[in-house]
Amino acid sequence: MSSEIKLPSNLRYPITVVQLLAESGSSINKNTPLFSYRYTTKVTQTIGINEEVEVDAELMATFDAPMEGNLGNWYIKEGDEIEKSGFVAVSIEEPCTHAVQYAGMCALCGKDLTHRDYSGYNESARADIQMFHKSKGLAVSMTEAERIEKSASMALLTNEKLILVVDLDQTIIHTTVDPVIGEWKRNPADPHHEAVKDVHSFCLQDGGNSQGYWYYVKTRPGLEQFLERISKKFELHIYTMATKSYAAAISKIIDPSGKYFADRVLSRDESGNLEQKSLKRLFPVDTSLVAIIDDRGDVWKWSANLIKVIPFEFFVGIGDINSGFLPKQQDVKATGATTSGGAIAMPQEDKPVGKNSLSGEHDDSELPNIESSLIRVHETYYEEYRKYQAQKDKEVVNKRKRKRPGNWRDGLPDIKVIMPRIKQSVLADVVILMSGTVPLGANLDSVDVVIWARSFGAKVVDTLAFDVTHLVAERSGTKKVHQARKFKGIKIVSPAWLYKCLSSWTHVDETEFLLPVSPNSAWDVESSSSSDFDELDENFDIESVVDEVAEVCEMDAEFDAVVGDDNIVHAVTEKEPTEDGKVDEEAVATDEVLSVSAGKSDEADGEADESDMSEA
Amino acid sequence: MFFLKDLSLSITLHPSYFGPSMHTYLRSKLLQDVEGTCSGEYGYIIYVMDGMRIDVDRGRVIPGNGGAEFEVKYRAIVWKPFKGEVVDAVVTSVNNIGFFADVGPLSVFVSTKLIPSDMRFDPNSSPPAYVSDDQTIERGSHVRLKIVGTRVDVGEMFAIGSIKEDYLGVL
Repeated sequence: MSSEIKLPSNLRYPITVVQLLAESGSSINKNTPLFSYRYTTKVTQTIGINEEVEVDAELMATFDAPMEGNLGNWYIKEGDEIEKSGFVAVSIEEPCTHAVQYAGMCALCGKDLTHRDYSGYNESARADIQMFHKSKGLAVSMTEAERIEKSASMALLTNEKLILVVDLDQTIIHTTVDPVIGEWKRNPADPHHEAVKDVHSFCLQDGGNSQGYWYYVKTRPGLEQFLERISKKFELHIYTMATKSYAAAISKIIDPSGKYFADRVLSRDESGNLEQKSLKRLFPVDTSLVAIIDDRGDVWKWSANLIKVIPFEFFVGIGDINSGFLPKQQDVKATGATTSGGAIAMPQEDKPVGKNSLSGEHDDSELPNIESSLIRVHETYYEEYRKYQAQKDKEVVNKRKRKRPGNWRDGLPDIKVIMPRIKQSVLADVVILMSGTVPLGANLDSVDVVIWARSFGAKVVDTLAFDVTHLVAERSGTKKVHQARKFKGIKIVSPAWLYKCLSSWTHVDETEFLLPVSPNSAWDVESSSSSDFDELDENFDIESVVDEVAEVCEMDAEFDAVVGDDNIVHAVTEKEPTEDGKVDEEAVATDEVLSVSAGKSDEADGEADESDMSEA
Repeated sequence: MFFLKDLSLSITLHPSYFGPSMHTYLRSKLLQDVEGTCSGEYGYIIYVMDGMRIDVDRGRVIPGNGGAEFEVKYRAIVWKPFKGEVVDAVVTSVNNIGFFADVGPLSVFVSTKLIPSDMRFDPNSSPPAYVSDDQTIERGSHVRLKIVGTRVDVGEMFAIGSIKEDYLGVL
């Protein structure tokens, strides 16, 4: 193996090569002088007794070999001037490149590489990629990592498999440490016994408690079948923020024989990061075959490989017991984003557990949904892969031309491209306005649901505009709902519709999810805006308001025609500085006018309804 | 390699321990502090011999403190792995670049380069294994390996092993 020696940054550049001290082809030891060079520097000279003067001095030094081996080619010659570091001076044919290292030793030749000397050359830095699940201290170099991944990818491609990285907590299981579950489980006479009898339990001795803690684990409905079927098409890996012993205990429950996950379990102890998950930890070079399922998008920074799933919450109110180091998950419970699968409410401290804490049997259909999405991705991938193969075969037959050996991966399909493409088409023609689900004034870009919906191609806006197609509202009484009722063509749906679309990867029919028209007087204006309408005239002319709205609508439509649709949407959703600052301002201003007047018409509508009531 | 080694340890005692059972206490403290530890010089201290014949000197009171320091001489079985030594080990985990094996307290890594080339990694077997026509190395297998390098960290030792030689491999 030949290594090229780059000049380090700690020499005093510029340097001039004076003499080459070793011959090409000769065998050298570590720290053998390779060449001598000349450099200039400032030196303090003492003149007389107390006088110090700085003078330029020309000094000589030698550059020593950072490693042993046979000297290859020189890329410099005597008299060359080298301006800066990073210049390749010479190549050395090494007996061992120390590409795999374990605990500071080369795993190939057994040499201790932690020894540092004056040259500052750090051999242990040559293999700095940790890519193994269970082995702390085992590291490989980039070239070695590439080689390993290539052979692994090739094996997967021949078996028509992809890789699936699975999160544990709230994705495929839900765990609690509440001892009351144990009591319910042990006592067949307990009214909750039926609900918790298939809850698994195990005891771990950590956290300073000598007794150990009991964990109660509920697997997501259909998990066994899911793993059974999906493992035929995917190589499964566990990546969890839980501890190593917890991960081991869980994998024993969900995969007792080790046939799905084998040793491919990565826990907090090995991941090296308590706040983020990164595919680079397992697949440093190539993530084109990898899909992820996780209930949290933020820990993955919404990676393109991610399929976000709806969190599984069986023990209501417990959440993820292993998310202690993570930022708090945005509250999605109120929006019905968690699925229960026959959830049981956890007893509150001050309330006795009544029979009512057992909620009805809801079906959690998330796993079958994920399965069909994954299979869709798998099929698309291998469809493209076969096309790519056919293309390649044709090229070989037709041209018989030897291509330059490029990256073997070039042209192969990539999940990072395929999956977003499939997802983007799902809600491509949908523009969503949220009501009652996202806090007023929150930055839409940081809201999980919004990011999630956007990954499916939906546009999410924060003000009622003309291109809005769906209003996703928690309650039917909000201001936005009333505004939206004025516009035909805006479908007012409950959040369940959005979540159903997101989890089934289809544009679900809205009929089932349409919000019923609210009982007329029961609507509450969103608190922030209510004060605007206090002083409205009692004898308010409804007709004129409706006209006014219509006028503004026209205005807006014209404005659209002038400015162009995209600019407005940008101005509203992204708050990006557009090229023309004026356009931005105008767009916002127009929207404000629109929303105010629409609000007025709401007020009027409410009054109209009231008068209807009195007539009745 | 195992050695019988005469070693000594100085133990400082608080005055509250002075009394008839002081020697018993010193002995149990010695066993606690010493057995199972690892140092670069002697390797692992496996066992302190002749528990009842540990030689405790008279002790010296530490000025200004009231405590006393005792020099305890003992004989122990130590085990120090050497480069080139052949040892028997139990495989603990297998991955695509090699396997880990335990030689008592020592964790040894054997990389694919140092596994005979007819043994191939089979990722589909469960648990993962290195397989040749007649041999399998998986978690729990017993192997004989040659140590090609060792390194001492604080209180720990690591080694690199090879099974790419005659008479090495699965037992």
